[in-house]
Amino acid sequence: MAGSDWAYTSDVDLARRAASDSRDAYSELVRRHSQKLLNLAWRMTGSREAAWDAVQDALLAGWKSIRSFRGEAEFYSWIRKILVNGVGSEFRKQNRRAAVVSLDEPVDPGEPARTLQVEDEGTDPQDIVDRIETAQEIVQAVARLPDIYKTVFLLRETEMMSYSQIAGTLGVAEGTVKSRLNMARRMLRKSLSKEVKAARLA
Amino acid sequence: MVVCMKHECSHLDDESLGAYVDGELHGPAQQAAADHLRVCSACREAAATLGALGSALRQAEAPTWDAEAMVALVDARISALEAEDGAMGCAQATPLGRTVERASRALRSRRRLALRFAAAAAVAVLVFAFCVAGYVCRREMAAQDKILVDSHYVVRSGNAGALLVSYPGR
Amino acid sequence: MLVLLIIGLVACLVPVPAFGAASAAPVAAPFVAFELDPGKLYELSMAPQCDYKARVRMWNPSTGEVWVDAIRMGDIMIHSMPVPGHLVCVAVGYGMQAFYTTPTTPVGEAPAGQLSAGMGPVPVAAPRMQALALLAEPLGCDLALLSENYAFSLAPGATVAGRETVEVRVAPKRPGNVRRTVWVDCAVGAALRIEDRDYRGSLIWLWEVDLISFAAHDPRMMEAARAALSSPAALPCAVQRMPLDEVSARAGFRVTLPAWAPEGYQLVAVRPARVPGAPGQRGKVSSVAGVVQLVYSDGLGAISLYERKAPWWARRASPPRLGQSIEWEHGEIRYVLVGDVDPELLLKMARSL
Repeated sequence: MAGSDWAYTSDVDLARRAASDSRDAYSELVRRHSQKLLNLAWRMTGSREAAWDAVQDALLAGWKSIRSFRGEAEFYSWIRKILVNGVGSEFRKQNRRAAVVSLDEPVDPGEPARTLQVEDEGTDPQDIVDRIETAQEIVQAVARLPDIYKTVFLLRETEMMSYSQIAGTLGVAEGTVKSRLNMARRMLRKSLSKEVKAARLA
Repeated sequence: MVVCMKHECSHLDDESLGAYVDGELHGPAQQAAADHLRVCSACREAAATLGALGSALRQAEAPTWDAEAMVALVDARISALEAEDGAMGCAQATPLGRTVERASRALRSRRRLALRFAAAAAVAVLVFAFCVAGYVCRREMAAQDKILVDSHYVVRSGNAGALLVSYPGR
Repeated sequence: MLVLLIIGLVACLVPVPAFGAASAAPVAAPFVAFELDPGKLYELSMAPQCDYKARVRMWNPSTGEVWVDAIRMGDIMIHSMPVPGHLVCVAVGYGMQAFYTTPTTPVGEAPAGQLSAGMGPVPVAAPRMQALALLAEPLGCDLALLSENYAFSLAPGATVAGRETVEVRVAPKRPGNVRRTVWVDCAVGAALRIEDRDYRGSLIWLWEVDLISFAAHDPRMMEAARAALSSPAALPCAVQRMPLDEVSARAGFRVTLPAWAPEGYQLVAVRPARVPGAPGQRGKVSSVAGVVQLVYSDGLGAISLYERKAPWWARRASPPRLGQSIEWEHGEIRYVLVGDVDPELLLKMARSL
């Protein structure tokens, strides 16, 4: 079955057909969206293999529950939610094994971040902007973030989702999204400015 | 949203700045933030940093992926899945199950009057077909028993090739 | 008798020109000259060291007869069966087992049965076969257990597939058990015919080579097998012996063991699996009831006990009754017991649950 047969069918129609057991329709949906899903998964997990597996699992889970996709949201948003939650639960499973508590994390991530500026001793924003010569550094800095902050940051910055969309995808309150995003940004700023200092001292 | 942090200045706090950069501030809060940024260079630079973080991440090269390989892989896994549990237990494998499924789908899209009518009809169908389900289920269990007995002969032979003995359509 | 045996063996050791379907010279050096210990000979015949391709006839009383091709290439053993447009294959190697099909070229384009270029292995989708692939992972050869319960002996062998053989007889030390005869190729040590008979003498398993050759064969078969063995659909070959609590948790009901088993039989495998129509899923999520397979073995014979949850609307309490395979229900569990021993012993085992 050639992919071009479906080239002009909308996502909603494909999803409806897939819900009536059309494997070809679902394959076309996979073809359309796997690139973006893989990129997101890759950024979330940091490894190609983990991304490949995560997207596979998400697409399979998507097939299993395709009938519950009503078409109120876009198919891509729906499958992205499955992917994000799938990766999130994998993270939680892994974190249970290696319970390393980062001192950067506030005790209750739901609390709004306190407005203490003292820990950033004179961070010059310009340094950071200059220092981002290759985007690889920020990719690595993002990869080092704790999972809950990394997820929110990626959904905001690479998927361009609104706070309410992120809240809906993760199943948390908007206030939580705001505070986690804030935390992610502060941690990134801190880790990138450390590199600046290290470079200066070297 | 403009809070006193250090005793001498009144910058935007991190969250509001982030919300402004993300376009999530509205109305008077947005106006106030915009006004502040016009006059405060420190906060402007902070906002620029926030934006730079995001755009740098977006510019980072993503690896190339083989979409066709993913299509094939998902298809294979769906095949394997449907082989595993073609129906979820006896309930859906029987005509009863399919009738229940169709009936429940129909229930959702009908109006209330017709809904009650359809519900009553479905209940009647359920009660009647329940008796049939037991019989069909027992037949299916007998078929499963045969598969289990076959697998014993493969296991005892110590020979994986013995699996092929049971391949259908030969 | 002993004289005859020695003469037979000596005759075997003299190099004989291969005739019939056997073509090129054997690949491995003759080893029978040095390996006269029947136990060793048996072990080597079950895991031959040379590359070959053979056409094999297999038979068991439950599913009947089938013809397959058995190919051994290096560390991989492949059994394949042609069906229209495909080869259905089982590959075992590197500690893994895979069950897959490869498309073949249509008749007219190339010699029939040749693999299509560039087509990789596809996992087999037929539900019955998937279930069997999970339940039927081979037990492997436990020589220690075997020596405890069985005695080996040699006898001069008949010609099988045009090759000289020696018979290795594996006889039970206790009456009422399986006995096996393996005709082993003198020159290369591959098993050319295996017969298992139960306590009455009826055949319960047959594996017979019809044609065997040692010529080089299709490298694409090897590639396809390697690809299948490293794909996610491949299963590990290790015999699973899961702790009872874990398998009970996986299956959703308490797994019970029979209090009594025939003499010499030990529990060698406990694994959860599922059978078409019964919910369950290999690997990640397994919260729904499946079937639990318990295999008892005395080294050669096997007794399999399967336990699964019977759906509440189709339950009917029934005690075990005499038969070649025994099915019964007790409480919420349905049991299936099948084995190579005397049905009386099976019944005793069933009643002891």
